[in-house]
This record gives sequence, C-alpha cells and structure tokens, in this order.
Amino acid sequence: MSRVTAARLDRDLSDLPEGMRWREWMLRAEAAIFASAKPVSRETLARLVGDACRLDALLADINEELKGRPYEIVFVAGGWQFRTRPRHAETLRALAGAKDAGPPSFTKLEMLALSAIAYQQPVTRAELSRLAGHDISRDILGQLKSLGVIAPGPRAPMPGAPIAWVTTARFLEMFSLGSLRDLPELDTIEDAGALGREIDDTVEAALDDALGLAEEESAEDSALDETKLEAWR
Amino acid sequence: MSVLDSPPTSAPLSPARRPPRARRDAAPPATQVVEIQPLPRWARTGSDDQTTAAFRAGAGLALFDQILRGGAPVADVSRAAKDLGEPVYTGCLRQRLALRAADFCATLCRLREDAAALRDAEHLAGGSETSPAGQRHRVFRLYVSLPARLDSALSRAAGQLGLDEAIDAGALAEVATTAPDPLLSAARASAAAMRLCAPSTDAEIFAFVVADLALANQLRWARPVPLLAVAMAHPSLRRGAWAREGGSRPRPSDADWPAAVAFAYGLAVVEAHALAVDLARRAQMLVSVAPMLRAKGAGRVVEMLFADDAVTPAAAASRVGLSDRAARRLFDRLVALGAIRELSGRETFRMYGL
Repeated sequence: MSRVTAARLDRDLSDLPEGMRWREWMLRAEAAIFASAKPVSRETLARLVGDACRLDALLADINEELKGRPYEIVFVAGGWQFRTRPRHAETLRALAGAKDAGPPSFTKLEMLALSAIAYQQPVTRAELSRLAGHDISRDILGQLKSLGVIAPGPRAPMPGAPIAWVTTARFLEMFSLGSLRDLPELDTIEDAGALGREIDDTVEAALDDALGLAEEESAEDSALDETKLEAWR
Repeated sequence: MSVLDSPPTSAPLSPARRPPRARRDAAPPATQVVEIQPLPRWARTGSDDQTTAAFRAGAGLALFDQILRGGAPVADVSRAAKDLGEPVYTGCLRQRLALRAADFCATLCRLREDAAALRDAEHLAGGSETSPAGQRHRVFRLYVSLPARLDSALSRAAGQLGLDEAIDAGALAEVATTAPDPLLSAARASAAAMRLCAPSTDAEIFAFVVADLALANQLRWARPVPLLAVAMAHPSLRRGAWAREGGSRPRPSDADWPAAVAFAYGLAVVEAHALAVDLARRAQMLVSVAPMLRAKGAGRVVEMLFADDAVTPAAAASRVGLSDRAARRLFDRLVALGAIRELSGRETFRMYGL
C-alpha cells in the first residue's frame, strides 16, 4: 500500500529550483516525523525525498529552524522523533494528566537496576541483587516494567527457572540511544583501566559512578533528567 | 530395565516373549549416512591473495555442495530432512552454524551472551520471550528453515531485526541473479541490502542473511546455510588487504567487500565442512543405535535430534507424547549408548544433541 503511494509521489521534484526543492523536502520530512507516533526511520524518510538529498543535512536544517521553539527533532531508537526540550519537563509535569511528561523520575535504586539490566541483560533478579550489592525488590522491577523500559526475557536455567530481564525499544527511545551498541563504554566511564578486571567489577564501578551522580541530584529531587543523563553518558 | 533396553541381538528371556515387533515399529527407517572425507589440505590453506581466496572458496564450496547432495537416494517421507538428496543431519548442521553466526552477531551488537546462553534462551524458553541477542538468533534459525529464495520472507527477517519491513526483495533478487558467479552474487546482494537499510549493526546482520541466501540460491541448495557471519569473527579478516584502516573488520559498504566475501566464504566453508564430517560420524552412530531404542516414539525423537542443534527432554516429551520421566530416560539411554551428547554440562535443565 505504502509503496504504491510512494511510487506516485514525485520524490525528485526536478521541476523546482534548487532552493525550493530543498525547502519542500524539509517540509515533507518534518510532516512525516510530526505525524508519526513512533520514531521515523531513515529508510522511511528516504522514500519521501529525492536520491540526491542528504538526510542528515536536511534534518540539521530543520532543527536549525526549530531553534526558537520548545521542541526539536532527535534521533532515537533507530529513527527521528519530535521531542519537547528537556527544560520544559517541569512545566508539563505541572499539568494535571501529564505527570509522566518528559523523562520519568527514576529513583536511585531503579536507575541502578535499570543500568545493570542494560549492560548485563538477560539477567535475573537474584543476579541483579548480587551485582548491585543491594536487594533489588520485585517492586522495583515491577515499576520499571510498568514504565515500559524493561520486559521479561527468557527464563534462566536455574532452580525455579526465574525470569531474566531485558531492556525494551522504549528504553532506547527514552535514553536517546540508537541501539544497545550505543550504551556508553564502561571503560570510558571508569577511567582507571579496566584491563585484567572482571567484567562484573567494571560494571559495578560504572554503576557506582552512575549512582554517585544520582545521589548528587537526589539532594533536591530524585529525578534524573535528560540533560543530567547526557552528562552521565 | 537393562534387559528391556538391551540390544536386539541378546537372547530373549523366555520363548513365550513377543518377537521384537514393537521395537521395529518404534525405530526409524535405517538410513545410510555416507562417510565424508576431510577437506584436502590445498583447499584449506593459502595466502591472503584475492585470487587464492576466490579459488579456495570455490573449491571448498564445491566439496561442501557434494555433502549437501550426498544423502540417501531414497527419501523417506517421515524423515526429518525433507529435502531430497540431503543427508539426515543437515538440519542439525544448519542450526549449529546458525548458532555460531548468532554468537558472532551478539558480539557485534555488544551483547554479552555466548553460544551456550543463546542455546539456553532458545530451547528452554520454548518459543516465548527472548533477549535482544536471542531475537537475532531466531532470525538465523528462521531463515535456514525457509527455501533459498530472495522473496517476501526477507521483509520478515528485516522486521525481526527491527529494520524497515518495506525491503525491495525484487531488486535484491535481480542483483543476485545477474552476478557472474555465486560469490559475487552474495557480495553484491549483501552490499545492496546494506545500501537499502540504514547503516546500523542490524543492517549488517541483515546483509549477512542476504549474502547466504543469494549464495544458496545460486548454488541451488534447498535451503540457505549460515556461512558468512560464521567466518566474519575470524581474526585473519582484520588483516587482509581488504580490511579497513586500523585492522577493523570489513563492512558490506566497503569497496573491497567482494574480495572480503570470497575470503570469508573460504574460511567458513572449512569450518562448515569440518562440522559436517563430525556430524556425519555422530549421525552414523545414532542411526546404528536407533533400532535398539524401545521407547514410544523413539523414532520421532531421533528425527528431532537430526533436525535441530539441541533438544530438551521436555520438548521431546511434549512432541512425542512421552512422560517427562520416560523422555529423560530415553536421552540417558542414548548418551549411555554413545549416540548423543549432553550439551549444557549442567545437572538440571539439560539439553542433548548430536
């Protein structure tokens, strides 16, 4: 269906002059991203514009125009999406019915559990607790699950066949990651060389770093907002 | 118990005992497994030179092709390998290569799961939720069970990898069929697949799938065999003339990709051939002990073992209608007879395979 309409759409716009053509492509890309509920992939956008169009430059131009607006186009979870800027999260949260607007406020332990799952997935609750040196309760995992950032994965071959947890596409979207490959390298977080150390040690060290950052913030508010998260990355 | 399970050659306990008819019903039809010779030395080693690499890949693929066509001439309908002419163990061969390919792809995506963890995730989960690495493993498992055609099945694979499903399979098929030889066909189709998708890790995995499909299609294999991703993990691929700056792995978007593909297939086919030699020997063993099995549905369990990398007693029990205990006993008996191995090394949640 979509291919039929794409075939009818004049992608190259060869009858327009250079500037107008670029302008039209910008509008098309923006319209597609605006109308979509999910992040719009590169391939989808490529079907709306001519082959000669450099998508990255096009999106940079769109973002340039959006400078004065409270929203921008961000590349997340394999596609582009409209996002309100992080500093407006508080404003939106003040609205009734928009409590979850912006990045959700993870507590210290939730953040710890989530980062451990992200690096060590699939991982069971027992392993998580051992890794974190702290009991990760079912409530924490339940909360993360209800936020849609983790999902039950395969069952581990251990007594009781416990569920091993994995992260979801929503997790990537929320933390502005293209894929799990884009998770920050553990040894860049922890500058002391990770050579010869057990992976679990490095993870723990990385988690301590993340935790330290979360602690600074929890002085006022346990929220870990997008900008701070950027700093952590 | 030992009497019940003893080989048919042993004397019956009493003359009144029924002749071993039930035994014959349960046992699968005896299938001849042809023993294969190891790959000759000249097809295994050589310099990194481009023409040598292509020669080696061609020689290896020709010999591997002989294995895939060297099955029993009479095909039994009930047999696990339904493709005429393929030996019985090719299902296991494909799935085991798929596991190796998925292992490499998990490393590529910086996921920590190894082959054993992937095997657990696939066989113990029973087809339900899996991890991100398990998801990629399922892509390989799925496509080795499909006919070797570049068609709409591709968009399903792309969807499973989280890529855009609207892949133009027709264009890929055209690229693959117009290439002068199978190796170039694989190289060009995979490069074209990479161009169609966004440059991500998953697009690269998709390119591996497309390359294997194009190759199998050109060689007229019934189903694809995962080869390219298996060899991509090899360190010598980082050293050749086609490797990128700084000794990193070649990518489908590189200009030297066809040369790298030829070299990689040369390596992969050596590995696949060695695996096939090993599996042929083990399959021969299993075929020879199969008539000794008396459990209900033992023949179908043997088929499951031929068709897949690993089988859990629970899966065998539910498929054949055995009790859990009877299934476990059957597998213990097969291990005792030396026909199969326990693959997990655990005391519980065990898995068995050739």
